[in-house]
Amino acid sequence: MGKQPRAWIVDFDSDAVIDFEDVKSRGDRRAVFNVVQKLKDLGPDLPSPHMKSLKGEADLFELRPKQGACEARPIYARFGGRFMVLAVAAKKKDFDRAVAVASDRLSATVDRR
Amino acid sequence: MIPMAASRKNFDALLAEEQLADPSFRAEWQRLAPAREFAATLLRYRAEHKLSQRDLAKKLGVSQPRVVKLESGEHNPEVDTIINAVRRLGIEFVLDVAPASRKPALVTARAQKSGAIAHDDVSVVAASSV
Repeated sequence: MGKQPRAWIVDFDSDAVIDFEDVKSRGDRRAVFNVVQKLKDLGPDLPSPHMKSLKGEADLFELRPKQGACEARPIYARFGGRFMVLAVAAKKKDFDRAVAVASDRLSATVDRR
Repeated sequence: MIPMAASRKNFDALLAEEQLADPSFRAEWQRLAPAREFAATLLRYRAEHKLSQRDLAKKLGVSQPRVVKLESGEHNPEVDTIINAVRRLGIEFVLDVAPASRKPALVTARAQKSGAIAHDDVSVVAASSV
């Protein structure tokens, strides 16, 4: 732990920034900023229930604002010492689509490298 | 490993934009800086020792829902709560509040680097040894 940086770099894919605009409630937006800040502070050490690996998506993870009590879900991946939020599900019903979109954006991002 | 070509926005820039667009969010974000640092301290400790929230609750002598609340970073901890955590976990936690016009003089440069949050009128440093 001592060798880990005190803060990690977290970026949002520009399309995930647009997804995030669908999170309308101030409380939910605050909760998303709060949990992304936790990812910035803890990086890969961020424990459950603040994050979760996505089943069937080896490289994708979900952030769980308010430890799951808020429906919004940023979907992210790690690239070395950085993290990228690839999609944001505003509501529970948007989750599966957000995961699919994040997976596509991850492939596109890797292809561009 | 870094996707240089991807079109992206840094989280800090997004956060700054939100604070500019919503002054009440900005005030709340600044007010809860100690809560976020205390939450991050507990999370780092839990990760380092591979503890569940229930394990940490036992170590702190509190209920698991209490740990959920402390890890939320949405409630500034009382001084007694900080002292209890320091006593039971063997960590160090510092909270320094100074006028924004003056550089904090009572905390180390390391603490300032890791946990300084500039408010509009005060500077808050919240940092821990974890």
